[in-house]
Amino acid sequence: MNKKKVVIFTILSIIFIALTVIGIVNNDFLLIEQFGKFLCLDCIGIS
Amino acid sequence: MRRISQVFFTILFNSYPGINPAERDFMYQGSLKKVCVPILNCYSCPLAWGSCPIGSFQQTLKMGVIPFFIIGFFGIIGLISGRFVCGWLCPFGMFQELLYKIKSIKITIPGFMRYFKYVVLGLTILIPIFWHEPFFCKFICPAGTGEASIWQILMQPMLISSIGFFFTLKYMFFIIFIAGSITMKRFFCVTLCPIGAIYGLFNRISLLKINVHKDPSKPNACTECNNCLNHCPMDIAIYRDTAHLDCIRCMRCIDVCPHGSVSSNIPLFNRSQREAASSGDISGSVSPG
Repeated sequence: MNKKKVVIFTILSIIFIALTVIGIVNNDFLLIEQFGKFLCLDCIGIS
Repeated sequence: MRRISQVFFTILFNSYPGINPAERDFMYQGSLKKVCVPILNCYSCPLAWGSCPIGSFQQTLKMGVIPFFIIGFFGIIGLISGRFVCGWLCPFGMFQELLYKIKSIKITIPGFMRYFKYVVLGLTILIPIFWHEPFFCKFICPAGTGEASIWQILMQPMLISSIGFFFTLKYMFFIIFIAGSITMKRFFCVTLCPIGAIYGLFNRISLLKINVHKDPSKPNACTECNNCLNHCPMDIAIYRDTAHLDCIRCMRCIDVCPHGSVSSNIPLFNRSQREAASSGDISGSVSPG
């Protein structure tokens, strides 16, 4: 990778790791679980 | 090796015995649903263990909450591997590749259609925010129709009474999807998949890379014979752009290159190329380029 790509990669890595950590702290898992646990009527074409 | 990986992950993500009537809605409702799988896999499928990332992403946006975790999750996977998961993990990708094996008229997808998935991605983000509707799940997602809708309705016939316009729309699209996948290479992945669109944006900077040797003084220089293009499941000439937005890193081009010009920065993927080169057995025809 050239220098420019390394810089972009590093910045994006920091951003995405930070977003993941914020999501974990915010308990995004609980939201995801709520959506996943129940039948998604939109997904099966009934709404 | 790739087909084994696709079958393995299809079973890994979809092996819940969803016919257990004790479970409400005939689907897994345990704590694994907290985890998103990295590919398109409907969470209403009776066999699914995990959650769909794009479904969860839209539902979270619909509630007016920013899905930090899912954005970070997409980004980290994209930075590591680009669209690799599309080629090696996605059951829906494998399904399309199998459909394409059916003998029929074959059509090349026009170049401009490749950008349509970015329109879909834009609508997938904007419509849940402004209109509070999960656009992709509701109007397009063929995984929801094929993996979830058909089976949920068969197991819960009372749902039939709720069938309406959107049901007809989704099944019409599903028929188009099947026809498209039989006649065009990975029709859905190339033209519509928002998850592939996201991962594709990272192909240029991801850790996993494909290289094409072009130095004419070297014996393994690319001659642009187009053997890679003929075998590519996404219809890409990898020598034109090794970081193409649609490259799913399936490594087929490495296996079929008669000159050994294509390689990956992960040695594991170059193994079959080395084996083929040493035995002098490289499959596929070479057309003048």
